[in-house]
Amino acid sequence: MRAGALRRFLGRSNLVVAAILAVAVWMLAVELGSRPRFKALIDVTPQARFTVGPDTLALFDELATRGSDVRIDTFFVAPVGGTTPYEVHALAIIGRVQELTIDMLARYRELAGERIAVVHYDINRDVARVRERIAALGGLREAGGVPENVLVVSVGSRRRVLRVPFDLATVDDPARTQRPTPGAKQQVPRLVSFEGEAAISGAIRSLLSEGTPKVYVATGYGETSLTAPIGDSYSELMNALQDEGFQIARLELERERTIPDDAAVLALLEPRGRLSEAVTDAIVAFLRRGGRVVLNTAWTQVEGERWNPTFPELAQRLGFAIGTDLVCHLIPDPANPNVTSGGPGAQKLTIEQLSAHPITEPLRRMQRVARIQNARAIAVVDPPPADVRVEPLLRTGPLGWLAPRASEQRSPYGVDLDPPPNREAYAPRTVAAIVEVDPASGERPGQLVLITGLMLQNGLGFPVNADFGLNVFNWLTRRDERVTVRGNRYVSTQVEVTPPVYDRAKSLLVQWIPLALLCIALLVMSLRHGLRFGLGLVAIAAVAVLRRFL
Amino acid sequence: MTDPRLQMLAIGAGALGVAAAAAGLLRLVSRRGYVTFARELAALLFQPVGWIVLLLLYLFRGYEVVGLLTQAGLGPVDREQFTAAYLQTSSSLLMLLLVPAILTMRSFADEKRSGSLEVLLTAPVRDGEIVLGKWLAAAVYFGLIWLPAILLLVLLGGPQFLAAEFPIQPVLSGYLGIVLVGALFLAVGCFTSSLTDNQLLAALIGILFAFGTLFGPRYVEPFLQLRAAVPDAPGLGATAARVLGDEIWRGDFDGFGALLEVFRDTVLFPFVQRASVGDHLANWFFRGLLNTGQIVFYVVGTGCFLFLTTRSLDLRRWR
Repeated sequence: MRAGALRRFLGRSNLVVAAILAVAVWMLAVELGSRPRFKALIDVTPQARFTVGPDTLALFDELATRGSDVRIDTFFVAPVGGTTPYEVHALAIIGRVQELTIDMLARYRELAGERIAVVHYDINRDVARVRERIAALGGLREAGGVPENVLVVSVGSRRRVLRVPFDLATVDDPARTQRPTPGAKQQVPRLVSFEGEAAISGAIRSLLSEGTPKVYVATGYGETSLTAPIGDSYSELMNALQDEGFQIARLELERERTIPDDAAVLALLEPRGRLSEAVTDAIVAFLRRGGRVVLNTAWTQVEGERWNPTFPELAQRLGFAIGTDLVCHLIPDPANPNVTSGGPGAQKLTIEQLSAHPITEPLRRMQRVARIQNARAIAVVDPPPADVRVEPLLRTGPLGWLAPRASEQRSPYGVDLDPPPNREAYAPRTVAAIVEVDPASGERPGQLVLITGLMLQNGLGFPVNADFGLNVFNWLTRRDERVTVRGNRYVSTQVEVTPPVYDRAKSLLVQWIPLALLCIALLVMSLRHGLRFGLGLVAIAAVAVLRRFL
Repeated sequence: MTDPRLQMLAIGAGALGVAAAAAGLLRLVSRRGYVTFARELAALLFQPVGWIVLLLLYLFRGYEVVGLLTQAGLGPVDREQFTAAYLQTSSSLLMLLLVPAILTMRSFADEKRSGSLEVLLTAPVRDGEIVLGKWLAAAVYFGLIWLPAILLLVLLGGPQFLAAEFPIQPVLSGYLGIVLVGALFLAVGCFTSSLTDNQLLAALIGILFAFGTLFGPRYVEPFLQLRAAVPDAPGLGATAARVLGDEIWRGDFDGFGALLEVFRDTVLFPFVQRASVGDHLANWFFRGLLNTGQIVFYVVGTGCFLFLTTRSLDLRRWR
């Protein structure tokens, strides 16, 4: 009896030891199999959407070499609800882009190891954590303080905010390109492709850019505030540039009359007043030694060179001319797509056809628009100076016209906003341009970005044109990696379910398949219970009859 | 090859070919094991109750897919999204949860109860051959009952239905994932069946294991994610060094507690993270991404449980 018990005990111990050993072997094998050296990831998706491009792999190598840590926070909201087809489609697109982004980030974490940390926040559930993180990120001004459907890429204290879906995907939104017609079926948006890799890797690369280029903002021309959080200030632009790694400094241009050598960009934001000859000379000299300048001016109601400077000396030497009239464009009538009109609002321009210039190309690819108002037209001097090239950057549509000042006060703007009757008055108007000046020494050309309307003020355009503004500064300082990282592009192909297809599929799934299985079960039963062909035949006959009827 | 009929034919022939090759290999290695396999497979195929259960599961699945189509009719759903959603329905999880345990609950428990196991074990056939034969039969049957679901997806993508030409690769990788998970659960089912003569108990333990690996990590995940969420959290090696080093240095080394903490951080948590079957299926196999680390997890795990089943049968000889 005792010997039997001992044998049983030994037998069970044997099994327990075997179980412990087997589980240990299993754990060891899994641990070894998961080591990066032994692990292989095989992407069998047709578009290889889990495979990142060589640029991104090189970026991960660079992160490892430099020891730089990247943190990516996603602030997503579950896209639920929607009452109209448009809303349902728009929310579904947000959901899909969120899903593709999460997949992409999982892949990044897998490939980059400890160098990239990804943290997902549900802003409805993790309220306390979200609040804490936003505070740590400095309030997320770019996302309006509430980071709904954005992801924030941070490297050290620098960061970039990407919005879902527009910064990561191309969405064909007919509401932006077509006018609604009464009675017509509402068009719905469509996800064309997902370019998350290019956007995220581009953001990381731009944040890794070495150095902190110095932007000097010219003061002393009665310009608006650079720091006040009010509508007509440039504080948002300044903050965004600092987040991007730029160093901001002020320069009393008329007093200094020279531009420091460490200036990466000189910015003149809405100067009101003439530039002195000495300052004009300094700017041209700066451009000739490869300097970069942003000149953003705008039309104002008050007449005169002080409020609406045209910078004739500078313009003449750089081959352009700034007009004095307000640029307007015919406004499409939503009720009748064939009718367009002028009136209040005609001075608010929406540039839909963006050029293929590196500044606007990423925006064009994502079907974004640029908005500008109170602009003046830029003309190219013919012939231009020998060593100067002027290239349009933003142009209105073909129905742009110039509204001269009215002799009588017909509108609050002091101009006649009614469209001119003659066709000849309409033409595309250039409202932003790039001037390149060849240097005498043969080094890199000097570049001036000229914008003649309000685009980058807090309340007048920056929320819409933030990326445009940052692209201008990044491009001028050659920190344009953001737009040059190439990644895999996932093209979305949607499933179309029409009512006949739905009916056919339903019939197959809930009638034919279960019926076939029932027949098999009956056949098996008949075979097992000796009924042989009887029940089987009945089953086959039943299928044939039902098939006939259905 | 975009013709869905050809694709269905190729997939069907491929799956049957793999099953035949596995059976052929078994026959080559062990003729007696092959006899067990053939006998078990025939028993499974000629079990009317099995087909009725399958009918109910496919009916449930049918309604779920109809729901998916309704959703696709209301809003945009892209092809890959549809494929992943089709594979990841509740009925799929139910099939993974229940079917392996039900298929294997009888394998040894029933033989024990009826006393035929003694006969089987005294026959000139090794324990390993019996285990392999029974498991392979269940695995082949499991693969076969999933085949219609895969073929249906191809058919739905054909010109008569959605005309969507669903990408075939994620479908196949999803099928591979299901078969691998099924193989592991079947091995666990064989093991639990070998431990007891109560079929229900064997099935229940098998279902609990499947439930734990499919859904368990999801409950542990928030804690794991919290650890991963802190980018400057020390690595696992550093944790071990800190815990042991600090405590030894301070002179208050609590051997067992410290070792337990190290075990938890360096062995248990990583293993739990890697043993998340639900995550493997949803985020990897069903999306067309294969990870050799995960394949090792299933293959070695299956091998371990088959080995344990053999040891468990051997236990009877100790009495």
